[in-house]
Amino acid sequence: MLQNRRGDPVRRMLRLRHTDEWVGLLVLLSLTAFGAAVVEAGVLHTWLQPASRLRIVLPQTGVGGLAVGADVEVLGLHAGTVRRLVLNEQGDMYAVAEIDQQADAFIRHDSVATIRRRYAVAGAAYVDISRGKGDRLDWDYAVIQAQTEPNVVDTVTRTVDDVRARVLPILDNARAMTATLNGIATDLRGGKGSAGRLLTDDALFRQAAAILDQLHDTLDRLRPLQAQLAAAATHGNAALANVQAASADLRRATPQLPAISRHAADATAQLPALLSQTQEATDQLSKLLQQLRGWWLLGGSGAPKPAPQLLPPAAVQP
Amino acid sequence: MPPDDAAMRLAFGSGHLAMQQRRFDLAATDFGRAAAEARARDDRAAIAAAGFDLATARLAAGDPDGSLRAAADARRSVAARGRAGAAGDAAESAPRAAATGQGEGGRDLARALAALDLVEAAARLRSGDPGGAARAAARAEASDDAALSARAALLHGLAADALGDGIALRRERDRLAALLPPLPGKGGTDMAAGGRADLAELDARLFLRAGDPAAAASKAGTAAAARRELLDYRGMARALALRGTALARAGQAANAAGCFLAAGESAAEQGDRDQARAWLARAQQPGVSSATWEAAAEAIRRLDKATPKDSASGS
Repeated sequence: MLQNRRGDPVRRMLRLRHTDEWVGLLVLLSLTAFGAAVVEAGVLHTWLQPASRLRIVLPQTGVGGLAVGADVEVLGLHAGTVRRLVLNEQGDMYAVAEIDQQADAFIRHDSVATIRRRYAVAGAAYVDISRGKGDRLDWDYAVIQAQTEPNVVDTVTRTVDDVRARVLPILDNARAMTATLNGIATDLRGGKGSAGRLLTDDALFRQAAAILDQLHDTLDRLRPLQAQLAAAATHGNAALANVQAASADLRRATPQLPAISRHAADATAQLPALLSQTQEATDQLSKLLQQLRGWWLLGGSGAPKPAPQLLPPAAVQP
Repeated sequence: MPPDDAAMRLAFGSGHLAMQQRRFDLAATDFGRAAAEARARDDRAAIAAAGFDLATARLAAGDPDGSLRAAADARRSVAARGRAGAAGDAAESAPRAAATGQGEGGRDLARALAALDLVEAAARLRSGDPGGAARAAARAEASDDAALSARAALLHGLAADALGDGIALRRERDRLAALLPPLPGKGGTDMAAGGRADLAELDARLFLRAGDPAAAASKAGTAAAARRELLDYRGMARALALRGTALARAGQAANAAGCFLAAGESAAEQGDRDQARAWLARAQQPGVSSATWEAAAEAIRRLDKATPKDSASGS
């Protein structure tokens, strides 16, 4: 046990003799790892990258509350800061802003810088630059034009003024019309004009009431006729059904019509000849009968007299 | 004997048959065709005969104006041929034709011209011109045809009665009586029966004019009965109406209304609407029976409903 106690100090001395080296090595390793992390995170890149300088020509009407240190935003993102406001001898004003280089690609010749207030009518002024699609700016001397966003209060005031300018004449006209209507109503009430007489004289209304009574009587008299019309319509429907049935029969018979017509035409063509032959036969028969009547063997007395042309006088009727 | 023209003879024959069947429009067509054939034949007697037949058919069909036109056309056509009596002087035309005519043809022409006068008298009487009717009837009476002259005497008597000339009526009655053959007579039975009916009608008118309505009604009844037997329904209706007038004057209103009802219905069935309406109206006088009144009213309603064509279907 004593031997064990003698061997421990030795080992402890061996261990303490390299402690400083080991700590120094650990510190160096830590510093190296930190530096690598910083490089990897790009912090240095950001620090080392120089900002672009943009000149924003301000409107002649004023800077709209823009001040040094105001933000510059592109697409709603913070892209820079106004570093300086310059007023030259010609009276032109411009602001010099430092723009992050990552926003350079969005700011082009057709980009528009608008000076706004953070809360529409209040708050700090800032510059909002729209995204451009034109040519890239020459960032050695980049210039864009700025405009001031119309003040909402001014817009409202102008709108109210405009509305007032338009409404007031209308009100005046309405007032004049009201006065006119008032005069007309007064005249009507006083019985002036045809309409006034119409309102004040009830004879016309009495006549209208009488006409309505007559109309009512007429309608009462027409009511039985309506029932008769309904009955007639029923009969008409029945007749129409009969007509339809007859049409159907006629349609079925139609194919036979050409043959019937042909036969009728043939028969008709023979009628004149048949009629002539019949007349001739009848005439001959009549002559034969007259001759027989005059034959002495049948009690006749010679040649028959010809048929008279004149009707008997008794045929003449007064 | 002249050569036979079958077409003209058939046209005359068809017309006569149509007249017997009381198809007067058809008869007028046939007689028109006969007149055309007669003009084609240039036969004056046939032209006059066809004109008379055509005028008679039109008169029977209820067209007295057409009847007068047909008679005038026939007379003009005969006169234009220049060998018979001139138109407009027909009173002398018939005798002159008879005098200047050659044989049977001349007598036929004279008889046809006298027949034209006869039908003119009837048409004028029907048209309400009794004066003209009397003059035409007087010309027809000059014919040597007894039947024609007797018919002309009847027409002359009717015209005289319409004119209120009782003397002329008596004269025509006597002339008619003288012309009638005795019954039964040889070859004139129908003519005698018809003539006696005509004589009875003229007697009735004379009695009525003399203030004896009972005798007038009796004579008129005789005339109506005789004409019914002779199928002369128009003459029967006229006699019935005359009997109705006589009975009414005798105070027998109910019997008179019955006669007027019968006369009116007969006239209506023959297509004489105006005459029928007048007689039916007289059947609705006060004092008649309700049956007669209703029958007359119904007959008038039928007249109102019937179109003129329907009413004249008998013609």
